[in-house]
Amino acid sequence: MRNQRGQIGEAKNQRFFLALLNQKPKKGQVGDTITWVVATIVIVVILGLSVFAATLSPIKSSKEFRSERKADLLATKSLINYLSSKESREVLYIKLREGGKIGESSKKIVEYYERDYTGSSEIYIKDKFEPPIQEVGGDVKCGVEIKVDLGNEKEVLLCLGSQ
Amino acid sequence: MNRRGTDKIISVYWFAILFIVAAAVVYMVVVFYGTPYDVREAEASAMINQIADCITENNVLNANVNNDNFLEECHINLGKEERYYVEVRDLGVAKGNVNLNDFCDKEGNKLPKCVERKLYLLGGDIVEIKVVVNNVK
Repeated sequence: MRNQRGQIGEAKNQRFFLALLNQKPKKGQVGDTITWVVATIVIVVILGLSVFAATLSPIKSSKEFRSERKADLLATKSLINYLSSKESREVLYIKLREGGKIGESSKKIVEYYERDYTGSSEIYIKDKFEPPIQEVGGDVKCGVEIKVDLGNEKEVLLCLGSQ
Repeated sequence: MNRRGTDKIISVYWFAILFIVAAAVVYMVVVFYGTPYDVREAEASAMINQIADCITENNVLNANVNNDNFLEECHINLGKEERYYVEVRDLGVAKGNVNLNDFCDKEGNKLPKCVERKLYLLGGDIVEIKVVVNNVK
């Protein structure tokens, strides 16, 4: 009996070590690997196809890049130059500070730039602490606001476009 | 335990994951490569600001700038691709690919963008600066 039991035990040990040496992958592991291999191939193919399709025509329909304008350097320069120019032998800047009114010539400044903006544009003189005319009447705000301080608590406001 | 049923559910789950990943990949590719932003107008505006700075001195036209030294004076590099055309008529400046100028009166998404702006100078002179920018080749 003892010998028989000993033989059975030895045979079990032999099978265990043989199994370790010639270890084959289990069914579950094979299934997972195949799934991932197929998934990777499918993803790579889809990626390739979509890159190819997207690059067929470089500018098919491009989005217009519209950075929200906060300032207009050219209009600011123009306004300062306009205010520093002489109008009937008097520098406009000083004339306006002393209570003079903005003349017809100022409309040119508005005309030059208003086509670059949507909505109406306007130029006017106002008291420094008074809110802009548009804001008094409603919620309309200027697209770009250019202010030039005239002194005497007055300022010129060039309002380009509306939001 | 119903093992076959569980396996089926898991395989459906795997397919769902696969399609979600594939859809995400397609979406990302389309967003990245699909519709490019058209920055030509912004590019032209930036160039006009640069030109306005260099062609004026003390708020009057700088007479020292002419067609020969314009690019050096204004530190502008138009590159080799001939994508730009710059014109300041009052100074006799016309640089870059002059053929692009013909497209200014035409409209189209694929056509070059033409930006023309005016600068009021001290004394009432007005300078017109025109910049035409073509697509990237």
